[in-house]
Order: sequence, then C-alpha cells, then structure tokens
Amino acid sequence: MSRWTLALLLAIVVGIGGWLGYASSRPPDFHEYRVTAVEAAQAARDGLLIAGLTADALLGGRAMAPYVSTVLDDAGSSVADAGGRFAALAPTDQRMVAIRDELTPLLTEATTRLGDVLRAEANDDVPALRESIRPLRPLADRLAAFLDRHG
Amino acid sequence: MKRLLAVTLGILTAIGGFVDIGDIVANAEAGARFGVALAWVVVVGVVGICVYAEMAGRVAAVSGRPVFDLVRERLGPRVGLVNLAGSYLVTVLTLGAEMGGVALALELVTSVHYLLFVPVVAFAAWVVLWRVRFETMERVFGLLGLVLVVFIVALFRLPTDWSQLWGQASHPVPAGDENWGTYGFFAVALFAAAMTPYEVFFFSSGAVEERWSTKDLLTSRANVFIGFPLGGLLSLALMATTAVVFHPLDVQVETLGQTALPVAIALGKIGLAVAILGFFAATFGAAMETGLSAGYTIAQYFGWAWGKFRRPREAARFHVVLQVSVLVGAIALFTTIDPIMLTEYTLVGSAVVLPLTYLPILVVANDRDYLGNRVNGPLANTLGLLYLVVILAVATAAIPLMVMTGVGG
Repeated sequence: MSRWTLALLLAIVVGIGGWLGYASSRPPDFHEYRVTAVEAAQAARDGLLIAGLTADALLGGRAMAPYVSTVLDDAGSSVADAGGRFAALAPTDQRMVAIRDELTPLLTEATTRLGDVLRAEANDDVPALRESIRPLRPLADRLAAFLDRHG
Repeated sequence: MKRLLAVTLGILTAIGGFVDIGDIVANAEAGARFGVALAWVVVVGVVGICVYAEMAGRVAAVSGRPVFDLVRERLGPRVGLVNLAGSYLVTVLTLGAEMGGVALALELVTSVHYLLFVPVVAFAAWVVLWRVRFETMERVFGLLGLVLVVFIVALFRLPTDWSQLWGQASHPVPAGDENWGTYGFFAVALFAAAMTPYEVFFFSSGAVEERWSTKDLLTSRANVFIGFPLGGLLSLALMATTAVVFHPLDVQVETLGQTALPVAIALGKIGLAVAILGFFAATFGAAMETGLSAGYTIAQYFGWAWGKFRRPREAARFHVVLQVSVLVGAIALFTTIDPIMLTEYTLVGSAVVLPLTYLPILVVANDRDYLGNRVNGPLANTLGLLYLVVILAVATAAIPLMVMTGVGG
C-alpha cells in the first residue's frame, strides 16, 4: 500500500469519525425531536396496552406468573428506555418545547401506572392489580391522540 | 411400510424444524403492524426455499457431496472464499440469535434474566453438538418444534374475523399509518427468514450425514415439497395470531413474550406453556442447525474431515469450529444486544448474502460432471432464475431499507 493510499484511507476514517462525532453531539432539529417524541409515545402506548392484556390474562387464570412478570418487566423497560431517549434531547425552539410540555406528563404517568401494575403483580395483590389496569386504556387513548396530532 | 414411516418422520421433522427465531420475530412483528398483508411474502419465500433446497438435496444425494464442497471445486477458491466469508458471518450471528431465543424462552418460564441463561445455553448447545447423534438431534428438536401448531389452534379459538384476514391478505399494501419503506423492510425480513442461507447448507450436509443416495431422492423431495410448505403454515399462523390480537390495537410486537400472548388469551396456561416449549424447541433446534452449518461451511471449504457421522477425534478441526462458533454467538449476546434486535440484523445480513448462497447452487445443479442426467430440468431452471432475480432485488434493497426505516422503525 502506497503512502498516498494510506493517507487517503486515514483521511476517510478521520472524516467519518468527525462526522459521527458531530452528528451525535449536535442539537436536534425539529424533525428529529418530533420523531423521537412519536417513538416514545408509541412505545408508551404499546407498553400500556400490552400490560393491560397481560394482566388481564393473569387475572383470568390464562397465564403463569413468571411469564406475566417477564412481559410486564419488558413493557416497563421499553417505556422507560423510550422516555429516556426523549428526555435526553433538549428542545431548542418553541415548537419543541410545546411537544415536550405535552408529552412529558403523559410519559411520566405511563411510567407510574406501569409501576403500579408491576408492584401489584409482584405482591400477588389481585384487587390492586385489577385496580391498576383500569387507567391504562384511557391513558393509552390520550397517547394515541398525541400520536394522531404529531405522528 | 418402514420406508413410508421414514418419509413421514422426515416430513414431520422438516415441518417442526422449519421455524426459527427469524421466522418467529419477523412474522410476529409483521402481523402486528400489517395484519396478514405480507402473507404473500411468506408464500413466495417458501416456494423459493423449496426450489433451491430441492436442488441442494438432489446434488447431495446424487454426488454424495454437499453443496459447499462443490461450490469451491466448481467456482474456485476465490469465489468460494467470498461465499464462505458472507455465509459464515451471517450463520454465526444467526447462531447467537437462536441461542438468545432459547435464553428468552427460558426467561419466560422462570422470570430470570435471559443473559444469565446464555452460558448455560451455550454449554448445552456445545454438549449436544459434541455428543448427540445427528439423526437423534434433528428428530427430537424437529418433532418438538411441531408443537408450534398451537398457534394454528389458537387462531381458531381467537375471535378471528376471517373475512378481515382475507381482506388484508388480498390487498397487500401498508395499513394505517405505515409507509411503503417499512412495508418493504418487513417484506425483505420475511423473505430472508424463509430463505436463510444456513437452511440449504444444513439440508445438503445433512443429506451427506445421513448417507443419502439417489434412492433417497423421494425422501428429499417429500421433506422439501410437503415439510417446508407445512412449516411455512406455522409461520403464517404466527403472523395471523398477532394480526388478530395486536393489529386492531395498533400495538407493535417487540419481544418473544408478546408473541406468545395471543396463545395465552386463546388457550390459557396449557396453550401458553406449549407455545413456550415450541419456542424453545424451534430455537434450540435452529441453534444446532446453525452451529453445524458454521462448521460445515468452514470445514468443507478447507477440505477438512467434517460431520457428525465421524467421531469427534476424526473431525477435530470441525468440532473446534463448532465450539468457537458457539462461543462467538454467546459473546455476541454478552454485548447485551437485544436478541430480537440481533435477529433483525441477521435477517438483513442474510438478505444481503442470499445471492452468494443461491447462485452457486444453481450453477452446480446444472453441472453434468456432478449430476449426470439428474441436472436441473427446464422448470427448475426457470424457477431458479426467476428466484435469483428476486434474491438479487432483495439483497440490493436490504441495507437501504434498513437505514431508511431505522431497522423497521
């Protein structure tokens, strides 16, 4: 390999590295922010509905506790991960701030509600589990409305 | 009577062995997002694998040598090396994904985190690959995989709106908010899941392991033309159950546990336990197949002694490759990459290397030096060429679609 080829390869590697560094640290544009918000809302909605279906299956005697526990854990993690990715982006204009103010309370509530379901399931507390799944569907509907507006 | 029994057993094994983690993930995700609007891709993929597996089985039965061995001899070491590099990488990552599937299935019955099971699964995989006879291994996991038929039963127990399913299947377009890019990505994933390269390596090398000859062409064709399509039906059932339960709610499926939920809703605890057993058998069986395929490709390229029909001492390098491949698969999982995500990447990788696998098979299946008068007829060649065009299109589109949609978004 000649020196020029080596230099060219190095320049390409440095260029790609620099671009990746810039891309990962630059502030988000509106499109990127909206896409992350929509993904977080979708993940939260999915998590709530899956948790509802799974807890229903447990209450109806149609699923084993370890299975339910795993699926609920996965749902909780998925919502927390998506919420974390959204929270990591700082809004840089008013439109982004409006989205943040609309979505953040919904995500916080989703995390809380899923926590309630997980706790009730872990404690084997049937009345609490039945109570905890009641607000899931209305909250999922509010997230669906958010998705309709911004998706 | 004995022969009929052997053929039947072979067919049942092929049905149960058809589904792997790629099929489970791709079909469940596609069903939740698109209903059964992508069912046609499964049909196209199953016909494709039938066309090429028949060629691979015939080559092995007539020549007594597996396809990869002949590829190197017929096309030369350079082409063979390109083929080897692509196929081995994808096969080993698929092995990792399959072991991840086994660990996830175990997590569903214990609620212990799947990563804790990875070393256990890797060790079990190595022991089975080392000690258990080829035929026993293939039959046990193939037949156990048949329990995935529980998804077909569940489909009939769910409040399935058959006319709606038919409406989705007969209007193959993106539903709701989905776009053509995502639809295309899932079409590529489903096609790659049905035509995963390791399947033909395993099928043709397995034919040599079982010492097939021209007398076994009937068995080969029965496995391919009856077993594979019925295996494809299991894939369609997976897609349809998630289509019935999740698609109307617009919920995306992201985990193995969610894939089993429709069965729990329809059939309760016993159905759920059977579904999880099916996941375990399908993924463990596929881990064996991918592990062996990794060993087959390397050993056959370098001309080493290979196969489980030999004692491990006589095929030491082959067994070392098996061990290393299992280890690499386990290491891939220990990066903490989500096994479902790993599966999605391996499906894209499979799609990219499809031409490297299937073009040489078509070439070898037309070589009279190896096959005499058993070379491809006009129908096999027409279908083979037609599928080669599809395969090239899929391979070209795979990475752009993955980037464009963020791995299916």
